[in-house]
Amino acid sequence: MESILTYEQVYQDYSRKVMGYIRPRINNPADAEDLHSAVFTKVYEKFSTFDQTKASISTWVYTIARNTLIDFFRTNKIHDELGEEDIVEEDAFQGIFNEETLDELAEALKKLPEREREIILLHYYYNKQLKEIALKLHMSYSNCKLVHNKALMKLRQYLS
Amino acid sequence: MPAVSYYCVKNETVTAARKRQRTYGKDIIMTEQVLRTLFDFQKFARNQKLDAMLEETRSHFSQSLSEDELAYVNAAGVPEMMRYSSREQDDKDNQWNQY
Repeated sequence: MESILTYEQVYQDYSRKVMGYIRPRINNPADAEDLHSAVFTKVYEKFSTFDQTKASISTWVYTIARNTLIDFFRTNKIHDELGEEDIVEEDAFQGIFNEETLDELAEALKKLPEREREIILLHYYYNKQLKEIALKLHMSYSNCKLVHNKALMKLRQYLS
Repeated sequence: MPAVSYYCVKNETVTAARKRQRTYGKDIIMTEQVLRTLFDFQKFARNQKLDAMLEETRSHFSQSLSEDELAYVNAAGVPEMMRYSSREQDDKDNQWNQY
């Protein structure tokens, strides 16, 4: 028998994840708390319209959190908040937000040589510039760019 | 197929995006967007396999010596004196805490 998803269960399961997503990007802890509340207010208001056949609950909550954050930056016109620049605004890739795709990404990254994997993770997750990565990994900048592009081509093949 | 402006990274002009597209091809730019999207989702979902990989990379990267730090390493490869104040060291540690 399938258990019915309740708002309380969603709050319990995703409260920490939402805060973990929001907090690093916001200087003021009070703003982060307000945003956290705003996310779950929207989750509560829209809960009855959530269709499990169209998206997973994880994807849905993430999308609300992401859009709430984007709205906050736009409304407050704050440009010095941490991590504003790496918020993904495009909705065209919305279909790939799920745990299975993250598993596939992990498997694809494992296939890469260590250096290529490090460059990808440092650049796309930790937002390090390729110049800084090249310095840390004792590579020339041009070589780092070359290795980076090579890794991208491989990942494209693995993920397609 | 999306317009060139679709591939623009933040603050990038369409002209610059066209140049990147000619140099690297649409496929690479599309892959970059996919990766940014997935890694942003990872910051929320915290997939365990990816978290383990990320932690390993973070640990390895933060241990690598910077050029400034290398200046304090003698010919034998031994750090002579770490001149960071405690505040500078805190700043270096804190840069990772946002993730």
